[in-house]
Amino acid sequence: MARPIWTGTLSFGLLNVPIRLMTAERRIDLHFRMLDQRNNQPVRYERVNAESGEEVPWKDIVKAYEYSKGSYVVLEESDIRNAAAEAHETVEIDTFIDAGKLTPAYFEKPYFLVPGKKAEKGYVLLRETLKRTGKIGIARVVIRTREYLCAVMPQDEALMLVLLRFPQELVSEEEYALPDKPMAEYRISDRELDMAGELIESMAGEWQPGNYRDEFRERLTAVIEQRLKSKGITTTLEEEEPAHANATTNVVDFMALLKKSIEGKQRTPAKDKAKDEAEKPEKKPASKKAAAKKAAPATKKASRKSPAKKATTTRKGRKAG
Amino acid sequence: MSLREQSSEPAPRRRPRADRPTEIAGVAVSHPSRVVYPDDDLTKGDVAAYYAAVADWILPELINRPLSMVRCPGGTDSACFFQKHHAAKLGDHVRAIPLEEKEGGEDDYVYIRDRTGLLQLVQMNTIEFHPWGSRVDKPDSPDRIVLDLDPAPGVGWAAVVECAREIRAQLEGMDLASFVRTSGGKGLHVVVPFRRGPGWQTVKDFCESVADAMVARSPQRYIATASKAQREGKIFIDWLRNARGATSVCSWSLRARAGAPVAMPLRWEELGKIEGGAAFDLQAALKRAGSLTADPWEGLAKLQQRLPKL
Repeated sequence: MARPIWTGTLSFGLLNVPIRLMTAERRIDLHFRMLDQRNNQPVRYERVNAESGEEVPWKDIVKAYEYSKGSYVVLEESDIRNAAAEAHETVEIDTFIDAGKLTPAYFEKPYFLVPGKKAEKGYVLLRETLKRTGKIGIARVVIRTREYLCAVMPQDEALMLVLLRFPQELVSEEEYALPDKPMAEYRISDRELDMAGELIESMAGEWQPGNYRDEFRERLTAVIEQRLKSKGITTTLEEEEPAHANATTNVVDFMALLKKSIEGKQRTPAKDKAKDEAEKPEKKPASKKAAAKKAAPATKKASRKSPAKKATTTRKGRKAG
Repeated sequence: MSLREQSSEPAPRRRPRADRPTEIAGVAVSHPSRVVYPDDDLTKGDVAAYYAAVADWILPELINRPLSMVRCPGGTDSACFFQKHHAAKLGDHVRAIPLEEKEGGEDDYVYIRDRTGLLQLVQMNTIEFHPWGSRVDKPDSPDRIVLDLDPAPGVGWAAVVECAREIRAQLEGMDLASFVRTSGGKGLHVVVPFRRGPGWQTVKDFCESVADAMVARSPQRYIATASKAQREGKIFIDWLRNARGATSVCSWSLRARAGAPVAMPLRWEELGKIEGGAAFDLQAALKRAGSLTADPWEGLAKLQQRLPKL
């Protein structure tokens, strides 16, 4: 069995159940490394002083909060330590609510609670009672010195602990223009309701999670394997080293891709606007070569992240036609 | 029209009889019986009558834009050529606009303002019309982009339709409405009009980034480079027509290919009923022009959307 995150207790009222906190998710991301294509050596990052350009050793780096542009409040290590919760290995349930009341928007990250030695009786008692009463426990838990709001809920043979978002982290649906008038206002007829109902029924089925796979990752893995077989070294895909815990290489967000690509172009503006490279459509073979050459450096540019967006203005103050 | 007996002359075409110029929409069209689509038995007169009939549909996208033409003086099965420069003999309603050339210097480009200009170009054997993405009053401020979805041989039509729909969805996510037409070939065009302001480089970068983002999400299905070698089994999302001086065929234009297909604008809802990029030929297009009750691209003229600042 994998190592627990911690070993401690699940407490509610005066009852305590010894438990181990275990991860319930597995990251299956493909991680990429950036290489200098000229000699296939890894690229590394340096932290440099923005003004002098010299490398800054870790011991001289402090964290600061930018409260207005260019103005900072420096935080000491002790400030952060004191604000962080004390590590105590307990899941403290303070309320039980109806299971249906917690909407999926709150769920963030799942964990398993595994009973400690000789703690099965208490664990099973809680688990079965939650099932019978249709309730879940709302609790607080500390993981790696951060305190989280979480829910304790029964799932088959297990008690799951799911970290919840704080309500302040959720955007209220009132911020979006959602249709909130009674159904009649949208002229939905009974017949249309029936037809929609039939359509959904005809598409109804069992939830079979095994049917769904991350196809992007599979295809990428296939490309890698194929490439290994033909002994090529690939530099087509480049990914940033994860700068923080949430960085993933699954680039499925279109807008993020778009922004990245455009930022990459803005960092290195190709030409003066008046002297654009127009692709001549009538000379097809020539323009295809030129296009292929142009496209290759463009993909490399697109993967660079610009730290500060370069403000290349493109609006020339002309009145819009 | 029945087939006449082949004479022993070397010319592959039937000799036209009584081929006096015909007036179509006020323009004298010479050699109206000359066959320009031999596989389909369509004459220059048929082409002129077509353009006269669809003038109201085609002109809004065509007028006041620098344009290039595909001209086929010998018919579509002999050499056609791509012309972008003006010549006085094209006609008095065919106007010239001097524009800076890529290599430096200036030259006169063609534009038209009315149906007479259109027919005068047809009289000069124009089959295809390819306007710029900007208008003559501000040629350096584009106002539309065209993404040409060009499938490799063997790629099914359903995949092309899906590509177009996916692009539309992504553009909607940026609050950009888009329009679709068949290319008259194997593919579709997704057209996005926008308020003038950004220059060619910005617009071109935006199009390239959209294509690259589509490719990054589905690298097995789409490609954004023109390389034919890498295109196997994929759809080429051609963003390259969105540079200064580049053009795309316009809606309602004929294509100089067998079958006389037409680049036909569609409502997005119609896309599911179309079987291919050449679904409309000259006759079908005439029929549609006569029976449409509303512009399939209704609302385009009133759109005030801007390209997003990213």
